[in-house]
Amino acid sequence: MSLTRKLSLTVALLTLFLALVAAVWSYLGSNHELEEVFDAELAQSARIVQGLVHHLSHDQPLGQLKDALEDSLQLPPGVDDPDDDDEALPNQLGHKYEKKIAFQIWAKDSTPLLSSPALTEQSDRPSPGYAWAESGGYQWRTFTLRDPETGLWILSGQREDIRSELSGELAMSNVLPLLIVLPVLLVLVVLAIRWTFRPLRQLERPIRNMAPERIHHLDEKQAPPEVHGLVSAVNGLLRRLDQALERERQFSADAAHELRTPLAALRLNLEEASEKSPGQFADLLASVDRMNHLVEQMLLLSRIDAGAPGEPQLDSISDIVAQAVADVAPVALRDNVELILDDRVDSDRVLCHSALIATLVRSLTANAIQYSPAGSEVTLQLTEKGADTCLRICDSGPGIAPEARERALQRFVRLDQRQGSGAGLGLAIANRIAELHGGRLVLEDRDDGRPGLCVRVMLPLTRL
Amino acid sequence: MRILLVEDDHHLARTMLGMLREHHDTVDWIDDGQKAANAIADEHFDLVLLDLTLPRKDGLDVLKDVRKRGVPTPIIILTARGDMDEKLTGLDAGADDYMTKPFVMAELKARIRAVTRRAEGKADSSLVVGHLKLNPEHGQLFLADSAVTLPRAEFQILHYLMRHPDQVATRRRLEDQLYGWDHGAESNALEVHIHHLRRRIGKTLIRTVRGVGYMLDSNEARNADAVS
Repeated sequence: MSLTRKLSLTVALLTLFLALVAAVWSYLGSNHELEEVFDAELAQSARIVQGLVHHLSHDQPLGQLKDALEDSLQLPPGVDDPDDDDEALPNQLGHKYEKKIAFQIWAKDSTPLLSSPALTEQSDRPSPGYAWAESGGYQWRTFTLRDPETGLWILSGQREDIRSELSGELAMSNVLPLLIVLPVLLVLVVLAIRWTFRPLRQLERPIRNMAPERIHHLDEKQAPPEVHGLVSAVNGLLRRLDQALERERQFSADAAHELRTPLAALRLNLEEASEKSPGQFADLLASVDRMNHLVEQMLLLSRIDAGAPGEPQLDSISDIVAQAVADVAPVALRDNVELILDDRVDSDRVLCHSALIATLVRSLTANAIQYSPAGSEVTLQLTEKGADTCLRICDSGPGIAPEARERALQRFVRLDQRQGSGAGLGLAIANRIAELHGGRLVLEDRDDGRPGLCVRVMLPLTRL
Repeated sequence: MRILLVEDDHHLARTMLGMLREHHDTVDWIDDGQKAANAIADEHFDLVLLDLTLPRKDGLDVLKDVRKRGVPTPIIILTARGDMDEKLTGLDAGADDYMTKPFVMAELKARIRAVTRRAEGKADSSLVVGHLKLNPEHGQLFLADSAVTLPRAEFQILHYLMRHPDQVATRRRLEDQLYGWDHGAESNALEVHIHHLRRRIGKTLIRTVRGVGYMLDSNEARNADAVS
């Protein structure tokens, strides 16, 4: 899992969890405080009733007391109107929740004197303090006190569902902003993390664009401090890689000298000997030339393996191809193979490594000539196909079976049906050069169905 | 002719000495860069064959050194370093020609002849391929027993082909010879000139590679010689 994703997920989950804990905490906390407020209110109501009853009880009989209480506790009109959403009643008459508050009064001997309609009478003897009771299918919170002078028991009660509805709504209004802000917070956290990781992605680009021939060090100053160590380690690796490649290039140059000089001596000795007895050393000379050719090809491969030399130059692809074909054409004329170049390019100015492209054309053309029987044709067609500059070379040789074509592009692979004197490096060299230009080689059948092989080289060269 | 061979590989040097001396040339041999630089400056040689990888003083430094001292002796570089860059560096530093090892002795001798002839001021710069002989000064072509003065275009083409026998010259190359670099894009004038040349010297001597160019076949030139 990527660091960005891991970090985003972790932070998001943690934020979510903590926010939920905070929400629950806030909900419970405000709920509890409201309960306390309600309880206090309940006690206060009981005391107000107590004051009322205390005053009445001295000179009024119980019947009158009951009426007086019922009058003063009479609910205002409109309380029962279920269609009215407004909780405060019109004309400042009161509040809807009033009916959910009830009273009961007992005489000294526990005889019930009076009771709000909502609260059914309780049979058991009242006890002072807070309690829970059930009546009319509702849960009630009650507070009971005894008036020490009259000996009356006074109970005030509130319906629990109203209490919890109120406290729930209030607590929810505390929690709600948090819940709304949370998703926004999560999105911002993810964006912030992505933004923070941008320097890492910027480090990636120069590495992606690097090639063996284009190694340059990463800018350590640009890297965030957390990856300084990593970047300087990568730079160390790049330095060692560059040195290793340089050693390899140096080895190629040294090997060239060390191999070519004794080959030169060998060849001259044979030449001298064959001048004295002509014909006798022709095979040996041919072997030395083959060996020389192989050495040249291996040195060339090792050079281009290290990458293309320098930057591509502006050149005429038509001239490069014509000159390269001209270089190997004498062999075709000697072997009586008809060599035909068909140049259909309109804009021939391209950016390329001209020496390498020439090597590619020479290599493929020489291959085609080598495998073509005397009297047959080798055709080269140079065209533009979309963004590609396309060279197609067709011979009349034995061809390569479709299943063997992939393998034929590998090094030192010579297929049985293609008899020749090469070391099987020609196609590999051409393939590597095409790769260095961002292109590729395709081996295919001839269009006319006759035996033979066509090599199509697709090069996405910049045209100017 | 006195030739100096500067080569640090003893085996190769001895072989070359033997082959070069066959032709009655005087050939001296030095295997050390520093000594070579002094010898080239102090003594007279008609030609120097210079290897590039030498002990004590690199071949390129030897070359630059003697050219700085104003020594005009023709120098041919013989090297195992085969890069194009090396070749250009060598020629820029004042070498007259450049050959990569391994080489064919016949070709080296041809280059030696060409370079020394150039240095001597072209006493006889006539080109000979088979039965063809071309005198560049007068634009004259000598066939077996007759001589004709070639029209300018035909002379330019044949001159180039005879300087590079058995090599295919691209159409672009030949057109550059004819018109310089700013010639028109499409023209069949080249075909016309080739056609005329073939009529003069024989159809088979100039061979065509379709879409590429033309080649003077020295074998055919010799065979034609035998026939005529």
